[in-house]
Amino acid sequence: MRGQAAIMDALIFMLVASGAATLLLFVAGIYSSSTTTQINTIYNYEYGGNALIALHYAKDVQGKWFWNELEKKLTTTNQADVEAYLDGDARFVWQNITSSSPAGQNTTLCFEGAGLTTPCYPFNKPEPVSTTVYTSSVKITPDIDVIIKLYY
Amino acid sequence: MKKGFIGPIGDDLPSIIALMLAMGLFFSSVVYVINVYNQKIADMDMLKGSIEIGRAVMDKGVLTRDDLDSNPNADYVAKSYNLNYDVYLESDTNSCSMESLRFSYLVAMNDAGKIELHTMMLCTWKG
Repeated sequence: MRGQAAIMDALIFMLVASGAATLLLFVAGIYSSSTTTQINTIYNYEYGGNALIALHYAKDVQGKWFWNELEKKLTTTNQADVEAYLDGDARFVWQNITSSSPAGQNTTLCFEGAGLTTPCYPFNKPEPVSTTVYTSSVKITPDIDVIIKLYY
Repeated sequence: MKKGFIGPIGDDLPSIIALMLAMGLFFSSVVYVINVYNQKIADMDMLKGSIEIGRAVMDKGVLTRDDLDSNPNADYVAKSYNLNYDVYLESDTNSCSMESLRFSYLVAMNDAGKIELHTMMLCTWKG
């Protein structure tokens, strides 16, 4: 009977060791994932902030300051004017935003407080369905905020 | 000799096998987890360092070609994280190596007095 008891003890030890090993592997699997997510979040916010800073220096194809022209169009609260401008003279500005954005085509430029019926450009595209959205904003008039949104 | 007796540790042999298996399993998982931990720490440092390099490069707001070619602040950050880095405009013909991390930024570039928007790529890899 002594041998059988020893085997049982060994099997219980094996069970405990397996449990401990499983716990270690589980912890190793999830370790740093939230930190990595936070660092990626920081990158996305930095991208958005830097993009808005860069837009302060952008000019359209007519050589006019992008921000000033956009402000003029937005204060008219005419969505068609804003769309025509972003699709026309400032098209390459938008192309630069989407080509550089880590979210690619899932990037939108929203104009809060401008009274547009659809606040986010591209106006004809439905808002991406996403659980994670990173936003950076800048006030271009006391009433209007321009918000860059990155959807993941 | 007693029939079936296979030595002083004969009775314990089955339990010893189970014990050895259990210890082997545990210690191999400890070694594996230590390797995974070290790798993850290194990856996190690389990611954090890359973002700080990007921050150092973008610090000026409007960049020039000289800022892309050499940036002492970014060099210092890269050295402190033991990373190598390269920055270039997407319109250039450069490309990151396969093993490097890639980050893109929208930048305003001052090229001989003319300011234009560009996509800047930052590649980082271990030094």
